[in-house]
Amino acid sequence: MLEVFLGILTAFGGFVDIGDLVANSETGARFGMRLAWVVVVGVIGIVVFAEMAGRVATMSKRPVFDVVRERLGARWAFVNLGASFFINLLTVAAEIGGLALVIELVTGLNYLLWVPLVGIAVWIVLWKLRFSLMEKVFGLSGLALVVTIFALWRLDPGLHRTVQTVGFGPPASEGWAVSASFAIAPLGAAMTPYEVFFFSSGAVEEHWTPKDLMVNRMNVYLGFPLGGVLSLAIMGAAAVVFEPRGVSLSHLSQVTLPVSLAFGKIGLVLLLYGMFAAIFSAALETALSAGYTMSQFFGWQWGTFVKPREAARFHLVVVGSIVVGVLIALTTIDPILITEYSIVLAAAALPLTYLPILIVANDPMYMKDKVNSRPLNAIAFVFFVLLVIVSVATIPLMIITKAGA
Amino acid sequence: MRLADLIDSRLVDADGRDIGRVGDVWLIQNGPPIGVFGAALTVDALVIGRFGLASRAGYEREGVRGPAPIAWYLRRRTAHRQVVRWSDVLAIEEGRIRLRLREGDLGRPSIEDVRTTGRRVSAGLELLDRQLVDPDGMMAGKVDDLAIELKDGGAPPVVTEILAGPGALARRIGGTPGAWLASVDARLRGGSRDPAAISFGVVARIDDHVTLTVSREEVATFGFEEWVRDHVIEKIPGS
Amino acid sequence: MASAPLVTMMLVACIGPARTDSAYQSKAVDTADEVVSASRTVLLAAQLSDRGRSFAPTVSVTVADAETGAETARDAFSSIQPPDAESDDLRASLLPTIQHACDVIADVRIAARRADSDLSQIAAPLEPLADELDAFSTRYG
Repeated sequence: MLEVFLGILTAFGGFVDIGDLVANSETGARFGMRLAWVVVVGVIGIVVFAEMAGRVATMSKRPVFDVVRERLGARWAFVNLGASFFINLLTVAAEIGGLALVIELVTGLNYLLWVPLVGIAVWIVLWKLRFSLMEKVFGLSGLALVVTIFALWRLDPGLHRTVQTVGFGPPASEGWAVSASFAIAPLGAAMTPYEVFFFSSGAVEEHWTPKDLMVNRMNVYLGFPLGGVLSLAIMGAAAVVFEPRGVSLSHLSQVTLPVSLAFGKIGLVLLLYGMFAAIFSAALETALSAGYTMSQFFGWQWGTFVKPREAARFHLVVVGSIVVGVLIALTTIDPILITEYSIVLAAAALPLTYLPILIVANDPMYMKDKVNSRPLNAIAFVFFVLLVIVSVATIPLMIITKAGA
Repeated sequence: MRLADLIDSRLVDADGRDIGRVGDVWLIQNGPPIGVFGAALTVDALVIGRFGLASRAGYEREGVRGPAPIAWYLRRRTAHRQVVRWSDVLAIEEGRIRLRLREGDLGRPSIEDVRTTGRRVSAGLELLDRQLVDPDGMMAGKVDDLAIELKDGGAPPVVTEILAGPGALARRIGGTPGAWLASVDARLRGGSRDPAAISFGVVARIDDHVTLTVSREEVATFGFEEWVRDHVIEKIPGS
Repeated sequence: MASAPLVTMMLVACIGPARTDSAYQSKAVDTADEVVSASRTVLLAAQLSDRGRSFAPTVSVTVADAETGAETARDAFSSIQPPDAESDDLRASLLPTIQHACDVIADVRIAARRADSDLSQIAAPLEPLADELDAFSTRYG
């Protein structure tokens, strides 16, 4: 019972990463809560996707990229690997940059100084700490971010002002193209592919059996939506504090203002601690995902459950991804910009990994009696169509809105 | 020759008409004995038509149903492609395979219909891209390609080896990405371009992965892993 | 891109000043919005600092970030060549306000680095400046 509870809390605390912090704050500052529905859609999407991937990994003992290669064939899976791996690298860079920015907020010293140190810290933790311990420590510490929910309540008791702007379509003042391109960000931030690679690889590493499926579902069905609530609180806090003032979010430092306003120094300590832990856990997960995807495609031995010397290439890729992430961050490109790109590109690439999982989740040869139910298939298919639309629209939308900016 | 060469070869019928590409190859376990595996796999039939997502999705099989729109769309694209038995192959040329029959004479059986003795395996669906696992449960690469030995006198070709590693994979990926992968591999392996070969004799069984009877360290693909282990990972304390 | 000014000039010749004026105008509005955002961020940070609700390094970084944002916007706008006389006037009415705001933000940043305790006083001019820029944005946006 405690295990289940811990699992849910870990999933909850580990949900938010630099992408969610940036995307939800930016969107809240610019649109109030008018795009809150996108977060809801994104959370449902990641719940569906992660549950399927976890179930596929449990029943077939195959993690995501193994399935991708088998179903898409060598050529398309290779292209898929290229795209996923590149986006993964960008995400690692974004998380490392985000961590450096958090330390800058605490110390006042320029974030670039911290980038290499953060990279080393991430790698040391990966090398030395046991997987499950790592997950729990950082996931649970990420729960400190809950201060944002309380801060929102403090700033807007009863949430009257917040819910005033809740709607289901694009806001009237902005063009549809701008709204649509902004909507992709919270969606992409919620439905991160690395989360799914990590989750399904973990299922295989921990040798989940059908008996564990129930626990898996609880973690996903309860933990992720709670993370979604946190995302909405971040959006709401930005909406209440920034939108009326005409402040647009362009730096991570601004994210601290609502909580400072509500609770002062104590709140700020909790927020910074939570941000650090949540982003650190994301950095660990994305670095591991780089190793997982490449190893699972080529058939190398992978995993944190074997000694590093027995999975040499896997660890080389993991270290390599951290190094590349550090290098990208050191180019002094704004980490917020890197984050924005990584989210949007990740959203665009989602169908590539989503479709094979959806197909295998329906195959009784792999799933035995645990194939998708009809209702789940209906929802999953709707999401597939949605993801394809988002994917096709992303690049043109980005071009149109940049041209208009 | 390699399976990758068979697949994507154009087929030319008795009238000289190009009737499509080889999309998949059906193998049957009725060849000469080879090591622990038993009777070797031989090439029994060639399936005509592109072997894309539609075929890999597995909707040709019974029992795979949802989601309904995807199943409906993909089933339509794969239903009953034409099949050529190896006995109807006249000659193998550079990138082309000549047949004895005319296109109209070709049947459209499913893999279950083609009944003879011995186990039947669709190379594209059940053998290629499968994980290789050694007796200790450690991963040893993927089935990136297969080596086929052509026989004289119309006897079906025998699958002799599994080819693994980027050198083999590059040929199947093809195009620019494949060429790039091949050059990276060549540089890493010090120039040798022959892919790593694993005799089929050390294959214990094929189910959802391929189990070997030798440890992964004895397999030719281990070279790169060993190099990384010795030169990089072992240098770091705590490995 | 080297060809962009060429294209712009050709557009001016073919279509007339109205087109290019509105592009310049929207750039001006965007710049004003940027500086409003930075100014109000600084006002908030100053208020929090004085009330002891934040830490010195955090406030310092927040103000420095806002300063970077405002100055980048100002520099980008001031380096664009105004296409016609009307745009000249627009520029003349906007730039001084923006410059003033940037100066005040810089003062706040200096004081914040010294962990001064009365940032709100120093940041006070930003309030009317931000309102002025808001009005500009509404008028031309």
